[in-house]
Amino acid sequence: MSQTPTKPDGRPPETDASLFLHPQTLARLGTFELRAKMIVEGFSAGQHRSPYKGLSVEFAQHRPYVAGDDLRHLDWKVFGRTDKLHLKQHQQETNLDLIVMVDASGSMLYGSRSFEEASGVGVKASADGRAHWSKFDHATALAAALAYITLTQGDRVGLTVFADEVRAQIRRSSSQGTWRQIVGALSHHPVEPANTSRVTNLTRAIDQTLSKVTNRCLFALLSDFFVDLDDVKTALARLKHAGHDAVVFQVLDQREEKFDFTDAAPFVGLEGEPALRVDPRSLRAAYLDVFRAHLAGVEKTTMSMGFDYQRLSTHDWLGPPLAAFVARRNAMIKRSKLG
Amino acid sequence: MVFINPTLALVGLACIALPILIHILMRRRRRPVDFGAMRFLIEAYRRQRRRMNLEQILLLASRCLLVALLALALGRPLFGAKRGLLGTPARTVYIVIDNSLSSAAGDALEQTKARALALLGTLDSARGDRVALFAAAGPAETLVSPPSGDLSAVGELIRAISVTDSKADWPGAFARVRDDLKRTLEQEPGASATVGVFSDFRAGSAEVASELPSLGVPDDRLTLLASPPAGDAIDNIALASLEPSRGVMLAGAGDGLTASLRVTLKRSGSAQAATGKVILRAGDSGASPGGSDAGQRNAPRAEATYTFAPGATTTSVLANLDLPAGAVKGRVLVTASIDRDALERDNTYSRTLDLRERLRILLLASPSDRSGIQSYKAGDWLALALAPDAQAALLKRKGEQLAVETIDPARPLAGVTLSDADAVLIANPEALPAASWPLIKQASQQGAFVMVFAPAGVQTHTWTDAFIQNLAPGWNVSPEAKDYTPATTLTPGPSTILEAIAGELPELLRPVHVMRSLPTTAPGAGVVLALGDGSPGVLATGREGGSAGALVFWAIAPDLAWTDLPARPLMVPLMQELVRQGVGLSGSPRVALAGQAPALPLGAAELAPTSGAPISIEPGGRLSRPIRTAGTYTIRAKGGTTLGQISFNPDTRASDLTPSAQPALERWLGGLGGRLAWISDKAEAAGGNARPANDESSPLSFALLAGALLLALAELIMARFFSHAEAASERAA
Repeated sequence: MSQTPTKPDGRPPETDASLFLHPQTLARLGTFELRAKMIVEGFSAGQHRSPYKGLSVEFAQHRPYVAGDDLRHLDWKVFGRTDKLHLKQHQQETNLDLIVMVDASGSMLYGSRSFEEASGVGVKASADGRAHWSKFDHATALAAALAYITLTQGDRVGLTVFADEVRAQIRRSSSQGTWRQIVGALSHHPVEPANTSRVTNLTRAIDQTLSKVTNRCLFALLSDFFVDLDDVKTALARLKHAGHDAVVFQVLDQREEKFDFTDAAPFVGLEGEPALRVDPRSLRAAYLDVFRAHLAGVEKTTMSMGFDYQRLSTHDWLGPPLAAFVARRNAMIKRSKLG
Repeated sequence: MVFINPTLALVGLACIALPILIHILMRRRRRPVDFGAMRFLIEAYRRQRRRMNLEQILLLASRCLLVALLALALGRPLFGAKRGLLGTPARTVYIVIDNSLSSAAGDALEQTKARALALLGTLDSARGDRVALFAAAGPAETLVSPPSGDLSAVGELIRAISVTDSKADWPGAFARVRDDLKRTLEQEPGASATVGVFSDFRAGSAEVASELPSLGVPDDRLTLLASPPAGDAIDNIALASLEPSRGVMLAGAGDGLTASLRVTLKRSGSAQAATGKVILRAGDSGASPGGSDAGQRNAPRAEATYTFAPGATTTSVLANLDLPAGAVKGRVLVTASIDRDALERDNTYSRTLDLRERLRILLLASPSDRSGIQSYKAGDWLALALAPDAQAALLKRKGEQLAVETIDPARPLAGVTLSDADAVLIANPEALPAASWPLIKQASQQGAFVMVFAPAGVQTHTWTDAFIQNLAPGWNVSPEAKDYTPATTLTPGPSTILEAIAGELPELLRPVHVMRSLPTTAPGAGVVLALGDGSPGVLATGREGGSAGALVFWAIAPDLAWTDLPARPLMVPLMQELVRQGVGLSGSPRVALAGQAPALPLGAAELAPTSGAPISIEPGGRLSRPIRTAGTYTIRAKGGTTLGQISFNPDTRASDLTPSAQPALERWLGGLGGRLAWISDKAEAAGGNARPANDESSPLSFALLAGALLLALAELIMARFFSHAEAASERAA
């Protein structure tokens, strides 16, 4: 019997997963999963042409014919024996690979929400002692959730944690232990204060990741994308060129979006930017202009590549991004089956 | 621009540093804040840097300006001389108030001050009106100059003006006004001015016969406001002088003394015959013990009755004041007083009497054998005249009042004590070495009486050069004697030094003949005895040429070859009288007039009043502050040695309370130039109801306050706009 590796403080890495999948998140996830299932099934029931048509190899069940069903799917043998019209249904089978890329650069350390309020289980500080819920925390929670959904579907999931380059990587796998590995990797690679000056280099990270991928994959990019738009464009273009699909999750903090500071304090950047002593109220309008322009730029670039774009805030729940992800995943499955 | 509260303005202006300090401190005390989206903040800052800096500067400047405006408002500024805030011309008024002795008649000064305050009440500091203030009592005094906008302070100064004992110094006061006007006109060419002259213009104050100097301002730009002259005639009698028959009284040893004093009185107003009493009191002047209250009650007292003949304006009366033996050493202060009348201040007169046991006289005469009367030289005759018979039992008993010490003039004087000699008589000036003359000059400056005789038996009088150079500058004494054949006679001259024997003098002079004399011209000297041809025989000077000691010069040698005077009965009284009066005239002065600069002896350093701070004497004899009120002062040398006492008495030239005629006053004041207007009683009544001068306000203050308020509002809006501009941008977004 193998022993679970433990962290220096005696807690197994899975315990951190309890933070990522604490009742709130799990509840959202569970609900969402069920809902997604219902959506998919309802969708398929309502369609005359099943999305599974012609591509499945494994029989699943029969169901009574309803008006509008494609006659090609009628099980004539059953009709011959029972004189009843039944459709033959098959278990879906995909080969979808998900690669979750999480940004661990210095700017991801920022967060204005308290950890206690965000975690919801009375934990006052993160494992590395931070009292605030950072963008990285939010991104890792989402990453864990995505991995969990994908793994429950029996698909393969891989993980890349990057900053200026790839910092940690977990090969794609659909085995039972993958989720734990992913959670462990996310827990082991927090944004360390010593690394705060680490500047995001998205293109490099994607290049390094792509070098180990041969088949078509779905990339989930979780980052604040506080990089130059050209860098974003180049990175996404590489994915597009390689034939991959992607869902871009731009993780932001509410304070970054609103910039509701009032005190004229010196602001210090997390990626080695120089300190700036300004009255935030007087600079707010200009900041918001620049910030929103950047967000719009990232979104536009993403959409122009045909990828999905989802913006999420550290103060928001994970439902919408998960929904976006599942929709994208299903669309991809559909395309692949059609193609 | 002037400030009513300049201190507040200064403190407020210093507070401008506060916003800057707060700005600096606020920058320092903030804790740094980590921020993720720093790149966008930096980019925003890069775009907005210029605007933000401008906003910061605008805000800081508006805050500083706000404090400055408040400071200026608190300082209550007034506009300068040209124009007030409301556009009406600001007025510059020069107020001259007569507080001389004549203003003490009744409540004349109070009325004068009330009129001046009424004029002040018509001014408005808010309009920029300014006032300069001068007191006319001699010597004229500048109270406020250059003109000030602080009318309330000027009002207080006017209320504080008090009556003095001196005469009005109108020329001096107007000279000060002219100087101030000149400065103002240099700064503001084209400015106009008002000069207010406040007095009751009685004859003792306004000398309408004199000419006043022009103020140097064109007539159309100078308004002369004068208070109406007093119309009522007031009778007034003043004590003009109190003169002892002798300047120095010799009491002898242990005997009492009767001081013979002449009191002179002046009157104005009534021309009818009048009589009254003069009371003389001798007070202890501090030089002798016994100054207790009992001593004061038992102080010597004498009365005399004066009489003014009909039409007479002056009279004098002689009074004898018995000074008991115990009170006759040193100095005695004698005060004369008359009954109260309209002008009370001139009803007393004081002076100090010098009482001495004996006089020390140095006689510089060549020795002689005195073998017989025919061989008597000048020195012998003089010694005989001063001490008629040293061995006489009568004089011996009474004590030697004149201690004569004969010294050979050929001897160097360096070893001889000249400093405590009361008189130096030089019978043989031709024998004096050149080095002795400066010593004699020094003794004279220190108060010794010097009498110089032409020597007999000299062909050419070469000594006269040294004499003129040291003792009588400006004189001309011929080196050769003039013979009179036949002999000429002597007649009394205009000098008053022999006043005590004036009655007997013509009779005593009749047998005297003069055969020879040195022709002398002496400008400024008084002729004591004149020769038959009118040329001076004996000359006397008071305090001329900076000398404190009197000088008597004999152009006639007391020698039988020149005159038979030594052998005549006149010789003894003449010499005795000349020496005593000469010594009396020498030394420090005993009386002075209030407001006048006294002639003080060499070496005097300060005048100490009986109470209060002493007045120092500056080099050149000027007092550090003029004495305008009567009082007795002790003259002290640098080391504290008492040199004498001097009584300042009311200047009775100002005691004439006769009203002046308005036309004459108009002509007199017309000399100043400008348009003359008399202040009417109606205006005075209006002035009396005028608001008090200290109720002044500064509309500029209100304007500044309003400006500060607007600025505060603007600052608020600006700060809000600069800080919360996101509201607009959010709406736009």
